[in-house]
Formats: sequence, C-alpha cells, structure tokens
Amino acid sequence: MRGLIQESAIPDERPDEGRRRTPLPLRLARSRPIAVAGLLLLAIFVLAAILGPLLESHPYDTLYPTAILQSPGGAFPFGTDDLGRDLLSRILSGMRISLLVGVGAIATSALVGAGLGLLAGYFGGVLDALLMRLMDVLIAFPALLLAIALLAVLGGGLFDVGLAVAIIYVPIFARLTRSSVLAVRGEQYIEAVRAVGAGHLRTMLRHVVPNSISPLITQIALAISDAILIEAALSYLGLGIAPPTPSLGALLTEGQGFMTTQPWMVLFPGGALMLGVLSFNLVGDSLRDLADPASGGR
Amino acid sequence: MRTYILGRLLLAIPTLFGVSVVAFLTIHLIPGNIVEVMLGTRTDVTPAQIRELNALYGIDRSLWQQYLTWAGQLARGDLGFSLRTGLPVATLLGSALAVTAELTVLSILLALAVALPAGTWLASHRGGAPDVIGRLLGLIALSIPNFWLGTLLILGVSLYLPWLSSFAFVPLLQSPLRNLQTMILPAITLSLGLSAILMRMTRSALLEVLRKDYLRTARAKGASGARVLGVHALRNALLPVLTIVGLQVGYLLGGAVVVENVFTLPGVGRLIVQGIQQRDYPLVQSVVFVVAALVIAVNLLVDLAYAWVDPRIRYS
Repeated sequence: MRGLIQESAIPDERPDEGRRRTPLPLRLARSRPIAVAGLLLLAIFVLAAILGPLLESHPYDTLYPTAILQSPGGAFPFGTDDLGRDLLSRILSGMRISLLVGVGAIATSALVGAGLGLLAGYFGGVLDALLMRLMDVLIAFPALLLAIALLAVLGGGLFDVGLAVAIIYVPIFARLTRSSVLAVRGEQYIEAVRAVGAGHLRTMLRHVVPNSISPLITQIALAISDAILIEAALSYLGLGIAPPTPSLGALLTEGQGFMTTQPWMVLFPGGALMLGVLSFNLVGDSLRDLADPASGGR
Repeated sequence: MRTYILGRLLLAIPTLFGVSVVAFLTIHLIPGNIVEVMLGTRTDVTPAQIRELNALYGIDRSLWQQYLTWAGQLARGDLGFSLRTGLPVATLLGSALAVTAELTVLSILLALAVALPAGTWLASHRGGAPDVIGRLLGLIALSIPNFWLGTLLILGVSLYLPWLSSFAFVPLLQSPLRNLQTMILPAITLSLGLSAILMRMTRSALLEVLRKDYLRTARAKGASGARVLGVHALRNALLPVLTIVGLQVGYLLGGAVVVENVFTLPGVGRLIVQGIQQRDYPLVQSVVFVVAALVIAVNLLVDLAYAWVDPRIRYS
C-alpha cells in the first residue's frame, strides 16, 4: 500500500505529458471485461432500485386475496406471496432498501472513519494510541455479531440498521486511512508545506488527504457489497428492518416456508440480492486492480 | 521473540478490557432491565418483591458496580446464568462451541481443498482467459449470500437427494457418520466465500514466490515444472495463505451465525440469536464477550505462529 501511494504521489517520469490521457471509462472498456460487466450489472441494479416505483404495476403492500401464491406470469411477472402480494414490487422495494442502506451506511462510515484515521495518523501520539485501541476493540467483534448487538439497542428501523452497519465499518476505514496518512506524512513535500507556514488544517485537507485517499476510495465499492449482505442477513434472521417493509433478506425468510412448491419465492429475492452484491464486487475489484496493477487482482 | 510475545500479550489486555466494556454497555443500553423482561406483563408481583428481585440480580446498584461484579466473575471463569433456562452460561456455551468449532474447521478444510489446487492452477496459467475466468468465479462465489446458498442446498437436497435431507442435529461423539451427514451442507455453505478468498491468496502468493531466486535455482538443477510448483513454490506460498485462514476466523464466526440459523444447528450463532430474541441478556453479554475474546486469541496465535514458522521474521 505504501508503494502504491508513493508511486501515485510522486510521478518520477511523465510519459503522458503533452498528450491527453484516454478517459477512464474508455480505458476500462478496452482492457477490463470484468469492470465493464460490473458497471453494466450495477447500472441494472441501481436503475431497477431507483425507477422501481415506475415499474411496479402493484403497490408492494397491497393484498390480492384472489391471487395467493400465483406462479410467475400474467399480471404478476414474479408471482405472488402467501398473502397475495406482488413479488416483483416487493423485490424492487427490497433492492431500494439494499441500495439505501449499503450506500448510506458506507458513505457515513467512510467519512467518519477517514476523519478518525486522518487525525490519528497525522497527529500521532496519545490520540493515535487511544483511537486505534478503540478501533481494535470494535474490530475484535465479528461484524455480524456487533451489528446484532447494536440493533438490540437501536431498534429495527431503516435508519437504525444503516447506523449499525456504519458503526461496524468505521474501524476498517479508520485503519486504512491511518496507514496511508502515516506514509504520506513522512514525505518531504509535507515538511515543505509546513515549513512555508501552512497550518495543520490546511496541510491535512489540501495536501495529506488528496495524497492518501485512493486506498479508501478503492475499498468503498467492496464495502458497499458487504454492507448489502449484512443488511440482508440481519433481516433474514428477523433482527433487521422490521416487516412490513420488504427487505430482500426478509423476503427470503418468507419464501422459505413455501419453497418446495413455490421455489421462485426464494429464487427471485436471492437472485436480486446476488445481482446487487456481485455488481459492487465486480466494480470494487476492478477499481482495486486499476489502482494497484501490481496486486494482479489480489 | 520472548519480548515480542510478551508485548503482544500485554497489548491484548486493554483490548479485552475494551471488549468487555462494549459487550456490557451494549446489553445494558437495551431498553428494559432483566427483571422487567422476566416479569413481562405479570401484575401479581408487589413492589417489595420487585425490589427483592432487583437486589437478587444486582441491578439496584450503580452501573460501574454491576460491571465490576460481572468482570470479576469473568476473570474467575464464571460466565453467569442464562435467564431463560437457569443453566450456567458456561454449560450452554460449551456444547454450542463444539458445534461451531466443528462447522468452522470443516469449512476451512473444504475451502483449502478447493482453493489450493484452483489457486495453483490459476498461478500457472497467468494472463488471458484463465485469469478472467478465475477472478470472475471468485467474485461470484463471494457474492452468493450464504443464507441463500444454504436455502437452495436444502431445497435441492430435499427434491433430489431425500436420503441426505435429515437436518436433525446429531452430536459428533454420538454418531460421527450421522453427524457428518448433518454438517456437510452447512460446511459447504460456509466454505464458499472463504474458498474464493483463499484461491486468490494462493494465486498471488504463488506468483510472488515464483519470482524468487531459489525457484530459478530449482529449475536450473533440472526439477520438473510440476515439482517446482508443487514442492518448492507451494510450500513457501502456504504461509500467507494460512495466515489469511487465521485472520478470517472472525468472518467465519459471523458467517456461522447465519448458517447455523439456516440449518438450525445448535451452535454459538443460534445461541446468540435465540438469546436476543428471548431477551436473555446475561447469556448474550457473556457469549458475545467470549466470541470476541476468541477472535483476539486466534489473531494473536496466528501472529506468533507466523514468527515461529518463518525464522526470518524478527520482531523488535
């Protein structure tokens, strides 16, 4: 990781000077089939989640007592559940929740974690020791277990689940940022900036952050895929977002009781969930590969 | 080396202390205290009796006194009693840990059995289609939610292999064969994500090792390609792979929580989820602490084993 930062921070030769570099999306499309597949799947997932309300021909919570446990097709393309609710609209709503929790929680924890990591890495000393011991404590709990315990305190709303997931990711982002800040802080240009009289805040925001942020950014997409999985696992266990809000994990639990006769009730929600997780994983993996080609897709 | 071990052990103490505080505070922040939970909606209890119960469970004392009592008990190895069953938490945790440990070990073995050959193959076919296919399969494996995979396996087995579909748990010592029959699907479910991680780690560790001088020497002395890869390279690449296995124990225990609930295995994960559902807070508090302490211990052991296995590593 240190090597990566130094390479990108101090370009010692500039073969590209004088001609414009090909834009990132084009470079990706040419040489990286996995990245392209990831972006396509991500577009499908995000569009379906956002435009869901337009695609839904039935509200997700309306009961159709005459159409209980219908097979896919006709008025209900994905069939109906045991209460006669349209499975397609429920899955689209679930995808919206996955996206909301995944992106919201990770954005929050990346901001907080990066802030803490920046303070710890830049100032060092007692602050660093205290913050990092605190992060050690949080990281010692298996992520899902900490989320379960936090949710027992917070409750089962959308915001509560997002907050619990955000908390378990703070130490990961804090450690990541700290280690790259430590590498940057020792560089001569930081010393130079300080010598010409820049204050701590200016040095941190204008010089340390831009040069130490890339490992964090490459990690965000992978963290979102994890967050989506954790949200779904929590509601699968009945400890996450409470019904009647249809989380994909809860849809799977509901479908399990009928799966031998109505297998689509577990196939479709799980498939939608996997689509979301896979798209973020493909994009995240490609970003990591792009930032650090030496890792060889590690 | 001795100073290093001592240093690492000393560093684990504040972490353990922090873990105990977080476990204690989280459980005590849950609305409603033990006695209220126990009594539920019962109205045939006098205020004097409630005070008596509060004194019995120690919740009439201040928060830090309660913490000290609990921490003191923990230090003596006393995990307290379950509110719902009245049994010692240590007894419940002991039998649950045996199940979770077996599940975790089986998953690690399965994951290694898949990841080592697959990662070796990927490393020896570097570039082009095998690289893309290997990466893609790994990412797909990482993206399949374990509770969905478990559900699909149960569905598939009950439809096509009914003889395997007895999910009633049998302890290992009672009947090893029947036990394996109930554990194999959960172990496959839990191992999928780990095998993807280990496959990539095997591949990149091998590629790293293959650049080393001693492999050029082995080739120059006439060792065959397979022998260089299998004997000289793989043995040296195993160290980082095994380290990752150790560091993934936390991830596996988290996964075990879900998988045990899918397959209704009486492990630690199911104990915790049931404890939360039944609001058995003394049980949850101690079990969560023990699990976190186990993760700390395993990570410590991995670090020490690393230093022991590779004598070139000297810690200051």
